[in-house]
Formats: sequence, C-alpha cells, structure tokens
Amino acid sequence: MTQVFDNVKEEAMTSVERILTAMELKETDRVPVWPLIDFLPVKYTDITAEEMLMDPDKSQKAYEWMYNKLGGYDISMPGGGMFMQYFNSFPDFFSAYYLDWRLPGRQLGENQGPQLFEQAHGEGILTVDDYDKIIDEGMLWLANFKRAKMRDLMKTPKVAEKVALNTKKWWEEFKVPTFTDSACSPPFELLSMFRGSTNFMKDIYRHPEKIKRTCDFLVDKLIAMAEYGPSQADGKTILIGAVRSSADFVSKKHFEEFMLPYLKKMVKRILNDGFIVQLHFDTRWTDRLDLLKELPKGRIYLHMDERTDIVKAKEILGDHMCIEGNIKPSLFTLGTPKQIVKETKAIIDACAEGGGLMVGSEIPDDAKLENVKAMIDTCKTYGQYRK
Amino acid sequence: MTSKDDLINSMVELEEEKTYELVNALLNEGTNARDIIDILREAVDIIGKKYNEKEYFLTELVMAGELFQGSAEILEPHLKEDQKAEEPKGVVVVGTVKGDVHDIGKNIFVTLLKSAGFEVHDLGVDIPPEEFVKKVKETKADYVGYSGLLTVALENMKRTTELLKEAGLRDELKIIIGGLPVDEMWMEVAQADAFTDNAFQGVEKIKEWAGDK
Repeated sequence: MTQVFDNVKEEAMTSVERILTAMELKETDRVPVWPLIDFLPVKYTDITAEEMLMDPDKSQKAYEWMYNKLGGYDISMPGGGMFMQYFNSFPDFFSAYYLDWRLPGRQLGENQGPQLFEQAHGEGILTVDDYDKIIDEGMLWLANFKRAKMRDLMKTPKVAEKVALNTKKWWEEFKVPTFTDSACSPPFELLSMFRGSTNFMKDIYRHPEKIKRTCDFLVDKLIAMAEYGPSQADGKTILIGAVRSSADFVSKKHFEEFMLPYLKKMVKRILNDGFIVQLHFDTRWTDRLDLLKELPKGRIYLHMDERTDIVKAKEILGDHMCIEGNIKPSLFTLGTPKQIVKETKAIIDACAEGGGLMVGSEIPDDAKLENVKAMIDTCKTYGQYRK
Repeated sequence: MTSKDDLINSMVELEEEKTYELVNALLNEGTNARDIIDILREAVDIIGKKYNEKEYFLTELVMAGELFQGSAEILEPHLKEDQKAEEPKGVVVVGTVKGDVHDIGKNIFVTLLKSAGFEVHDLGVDIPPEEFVKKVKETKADYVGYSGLLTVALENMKRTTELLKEAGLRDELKIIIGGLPVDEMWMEVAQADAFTDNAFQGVEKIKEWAGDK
C-alpha cells in the first residue's frame, strides 16, 4: 500500500482485512478499533457542522484529516454520508423529511449537531388512525418539505454520487471500511419515532393488533428501501438500528411479539443480498442477548453502548456474531486518557480471545482527541493477538 | 362490594377499562375520592417495584402514569373543596437543559412525581439556565431536576447551578440530574446532589428528601 497518510503506520493487516476477518469470528493481527466519529472535526478544524452535513467534499477532507491526526482506525464515515442520512427521501429514523430533526445552520446554530425534536409533535406525526392509512397509502404522504427542502431532494443525486466515490476511496484506496451506506429501521422502531415514544408505548397496550398489522405491511418495503441506495452505488454496509425495543423500554414479551420476527426477516434478507449488517443497538440489551442468537450468522456486527454488558455479550454471542463496543461516550469528553486505557484494556482482556471483537464507541462532538487516541493506541499495542 | 385489592390488582395489571370501572364502582359505593387516590398511589408503588426488578419496563411505567391520570380525572369532581387543597409533598422544577431536547425520561419522571403528590413545574426542553432560576424563585421550589442526554448539555447544567448560587437559591435546594448517561462524573460537574438514569428511582430520591425535611 502506498503511504497516503503520513501519520498512519502500516500494519500486518489492512483495516478491510481486519474488519472482515473479525466478522468471521477469527483472530486478527490486533483488535479492530472503531471510534464512531461524525461531527467531531468541527471542534478541531475550520469546518462547520453545517458543512459537515451539507458539503461532501469538505466533510470527506475533514474525515481524512481526523483519520490521519489520530493515526488511523478501522472504520470511517465517508464524506457526505451524513447528508444521505438526514436527507433520506425514504421514511427512516434519521430522515428530516419525516421527523422533526433540528439541523445545523437551519433550526440550530451552524456548529450544533442534529437533534431530534420529538415532543414538539404532541400527538406525534402519526395518529392512531394513521396505522390503517399506512396500510392503505404507504408512508410517502408523511414527507414534509418544510422540514427538509425540495432543494435538498434535488441535491441528493449529486451528493449520492460523491458519497459513492468517497466510499470507494475509503474501501479501495485507503483499505478502510465505511460506517454504513444505508439504514434500515425495524417497523417497531420506526413507528415509535413517528408516533412519539410515549404515544407508541400506550399503543402497545391499547392497539397491539394495529401495530402488528402495520409491521407486517412495512417490513418488506423497509428492506427494499434500505437496499435501494447501496445496490445502486456499490454500498456494502446496511445499519439496522434499535433503541426503543431494548430492555430499557419494553418487556421480553413485547420484544418477541413486535420486534424479533421482523428483525430476523430483515437480517436474513440483507445478509442474503450480500450486504454487511451492522446491528446498531443502543441502550440496555443484556437481558435480550440470548434472543439475538436466533438471528442468522454471517457478516454481521453488533454495536452496543455501555448500558449493555459486553462481557455477557461475548459469553452469549461470542461464537455467533462479532461484537463491538462499549466504552461510555461521555468518558471521551469528561474522562482522561488513563481512564480510557483502563476501560479499553478491560474490554480486550475479557472479550478479545478467539476474535470477533471490535472496540469502539460513539464519539461525542466535544470529545478530547487525546482520549480518542488513547482507545485507538491501546488496541494497536495492548490489543495485539500476535506479537 | 368492590375491594381495595381489586383496584390495586387491576391497576398493577394495567387493565385500563377495568381500572376506571373499579374507580367508579368504589365512588358509587361511597368510598372517599381522596382514599381512592391513596389506593392508586399504592398501586403505582407496586408497579415501580416491578420496574426496579425488571419485571416491568418503561412502557409499563408510561401506562401506569396514564391510568393514574385517567382515574384522577374521574375523581376530580368528587374531591370536596377542602380535600382539593391537599398540601403538596414538595415543589419540583424540571426541565431538559439548553442544548438538549431529549425528554422521554423527563416526561415519565414528571408523571410519576405528580402521581406521588408533588407539585411539578415542567419547563420543557432546551431550557436556558436563567429560566430555571426564574421558575425556582417564582414557585419557591424545593427541588430541581435537570434532564439531559448529551455531554454538550452538561455545561449548561453547571451554569444553571452557578446561577442558582449567585441568586442565593442553591442552599435551600436539592438538585437531581437525570438521563441515560449521567453518572457521578456528571453530578460533580453539574454540582448536583444526586443523579439517576432511572425515572422511578429519581422519584424515590425526591420522596426520600421530602421525608427528611
């Protein structure tokens, strides 16, 4: 490999080899490491959060700068990736066409990261009656061009083209996998976002049949929508996100009833269609890990945050799927490199043996670089499988 | 005759229609509306315990709040004038601090606090420090709850406490911070008295403080 980044040392495996091997549940040269960086460059370079979102060229440069500055890591966001997330014209939990995402340079200051404004809806953008309307008319009638603009929609093909090039650059030139090329919401999660979480929790008790009928109707369509972009632009990874179906929110019974069958279907189809699946499961999943064993094996990795016990995840899922996590995000802002090293080593000690582990975390926009670097460097040194 | 236990069981099982039927039945049989509220509070406590034991989850807490509120609406016209002026157990000002708009946990916290008999002033989300201070002054609050999920909000929690100090209000107040990621580190920065990642336990903390007073 030619030396593209002056600060990144060549290692025994490339990041692409390392990540793919980890997903095969085999040991790599060292433990892969993934700081999930989205708006962090705003704090350390001249770029604004608005530009990170809207400008695929500038954001690509910012991600390359960050990658070099931190000495390299194993998964990166492609420039423009966040535009595709927040201006997804299909109904999805990140799409500003559907949900009241407040965006930098629009409703927020130019340097604030996006935030979902859920409570402002009061009744939610979906009412109880709309469950039936979805089945009759689909979901596109929910698009709101006041939130995201028609001009964003016009811009989408141009940005998509650049994102495809940036993705290719990371994978083929830099040999680094990209974060995700598309997102897929399980119907349960999507409906919770669209109804508003509190309303949806009441619906679970009051209108379970409506929810199930709508989930049955939506599941294939949501898979098709998630695969549309990547199948046009040689994308490789599809993220399936879940938060509101975790053990922080719903019982095992409700998870098994409203979420698991659809999740299984999604994972199976997306794997069969040749994509990598990133299960992006925030909040507490420890008590549901046994149920994730029912998902098919394949190129799949489970991202979890600090609320899920990663040691338990290794015990339960270690021979089933690659696990990734789970340093607490706020520690990168409030903690010290010493604390990060300690946490990283603890995860490596407990979970690295035999492979199938990536260490990582979502990195807050105000994180200290030395903390992020401490996690990366610890994986590169302490996390060596073969010295 | 409808028994107290029937109502407790129905509420704990989150049977909505049956709970309202039983509230009406108890009223018709001459049970005092205030006593029925106490029975409902007992049921909410049991639901909270089930939540702590991971038998119940947020969904069940939300439903419990809903059933309590629905029952309170039935009972409202039956509360005699003197009973309406029930002395609140304390006054709480709550809000998600500036820079953050997350409020799922905060809303559940507010519902549970109200059902526990506190006077709650919910400021909403993205609340600047000055607004907290103004509300604390105006309501003579005993407790303040800052809610937040993002580390960028932490700076404003700290700022709010500092402004409360400057206004001479801090010493009389107990401050609790809530949100999934909050921990001791957050509590120290925010100069709060307690932290919680669990709406039910947050209410328990405030009840404990109220008992100490």
